[in-house]
Amino acid sequence: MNEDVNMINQLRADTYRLIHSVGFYVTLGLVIVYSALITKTKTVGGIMANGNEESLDRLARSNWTILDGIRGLTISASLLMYMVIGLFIITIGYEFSQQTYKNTLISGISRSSFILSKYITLLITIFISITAYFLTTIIMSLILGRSLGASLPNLLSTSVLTDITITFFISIVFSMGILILVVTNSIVISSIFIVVFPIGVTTVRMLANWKWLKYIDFFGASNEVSLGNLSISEFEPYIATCGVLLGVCIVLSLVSMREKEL
Amino acid sequence: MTETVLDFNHVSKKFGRFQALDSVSFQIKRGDIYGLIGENGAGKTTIMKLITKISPLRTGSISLFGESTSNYQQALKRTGAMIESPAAFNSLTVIQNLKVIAKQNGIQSKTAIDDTIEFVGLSKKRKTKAKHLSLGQKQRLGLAFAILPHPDFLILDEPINGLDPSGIIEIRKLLYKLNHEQQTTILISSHILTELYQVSTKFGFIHHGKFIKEVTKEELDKEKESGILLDVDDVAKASEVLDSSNVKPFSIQNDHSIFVKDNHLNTGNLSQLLIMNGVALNGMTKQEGSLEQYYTQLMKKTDEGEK
Repeated sequence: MNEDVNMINQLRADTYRLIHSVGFYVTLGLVIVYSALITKTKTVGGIMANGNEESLDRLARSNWTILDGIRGLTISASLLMYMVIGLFIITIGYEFSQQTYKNTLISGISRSSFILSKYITLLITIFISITAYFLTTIIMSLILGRSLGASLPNLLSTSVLTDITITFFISIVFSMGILILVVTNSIVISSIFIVVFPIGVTTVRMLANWKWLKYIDFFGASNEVSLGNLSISEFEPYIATCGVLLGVCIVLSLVSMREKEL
Repeated sequence: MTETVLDFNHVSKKFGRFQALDSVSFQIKRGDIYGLIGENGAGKTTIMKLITKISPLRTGSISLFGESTSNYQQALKRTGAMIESPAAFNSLTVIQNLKVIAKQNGIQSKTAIDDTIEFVGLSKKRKTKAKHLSLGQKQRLGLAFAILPHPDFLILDEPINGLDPSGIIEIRKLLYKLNHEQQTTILISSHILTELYQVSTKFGFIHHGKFIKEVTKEELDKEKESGILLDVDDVAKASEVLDSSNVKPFSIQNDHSIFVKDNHLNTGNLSQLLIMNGVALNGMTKQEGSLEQYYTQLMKKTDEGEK
């Protein structure tokens, strides 16, 4: 009970800090501009092992509907992660670079609540950013007079599903970033990891042709979801892999925080 | 019986091969202002980090407000601390930084932050970003973080580092006020021993990771009294001579030492007086009364004992 209260207090503190950070609004602004540019110019691209050129060509040539916008944005979401990396730095990076975690831990919060609250804050802020990303394309498309491209319920469900999928995948990469940050105390090393990880996985998957890597090729998976190439039942192993990875990262971060000299 | 706030029991700590703490034990009672004294690297900060769980405990046990090491998250909520350099979010202002701390601690009172800012003397800097504060102002902000939740136990590591003389006086008054008005128990370390002497009610001396001695201020005042220590062959005869010559006050320490509690006597005249009256004077030492002198002598004795 007390731990729940501590965690809620920490979430409130982090929320306060985020909404008073210029970086948060800059990140949100960048995401909105990026989304608007993609929607306006119909230019899509990102990190992907399976180029799916046919789908890309079809997208680039077609008269975009709002659904096409959603798909185009999903394909471009791997680059979006480099914009929201600022949220990782503001939420947890500063705690370590400015050593304010001492104030946080002395306030009586347990290590587990600290790590969990940081992950939840990241999850919420990423969700807000991705929602802004998709809302922008919907609004922009309506302004440009584009049609829905699907029934409204279908469009909305695709948007929400893709939004949640991308948020979850980015949060998994960030949870690995948290682990590296806790172990190394270096915001630089953890940020480099976040940047390199998706490219690394995609590159190795292409070069080595290791099929199992598709389960941690998060953006490849979200592209497949968006293009309708991955059914819900096929999606289960991805969710399971993510769940295990998330659990391992949180537990290792916790163990590392308990054992290290802070 | 006075409540034991902190029970530090046979705690050892190693960093690699370096023995930072070697079976250190001491207690802090409610209402104490406990001055922790030791050279750089003696283990003062390590003790504070262990208490606040910033450093993991491997050997020994620590009890805080009666709760044991493994499970004193609640006891930590009654504790405020400023360890090493104060840490704040650079891009947030003084008041915003304090709001973050208030939210972390679940503080609802709207006046608590303003009161704390005023208490530490940062009223004119409330809207200044932390990155633009001077070292002394950052120190005050760190202190504000520590006292905002009105802790029952306050841990301060070198709190007057970087403060100007008026700042030092203000911090001294502040600690006095916290201790007397809010009954806050305080553990404090400082290199400025004169300051530590003025605020503390009890002192713990630590040297090379070992806990050497603990004294109350009264005991310290008795031990560190300034004067002249005489080493004589016959203390009875010597005391008669001193008494008849009105050299007072003095106290007999043992069967060959007398301590004259007057540091301004002419030592030449004093030795002549004793010798002329048939007292063999084997030695005469002038003792200074400062905490620095006491500390230096204690460390010297400890080092000689170790050899």
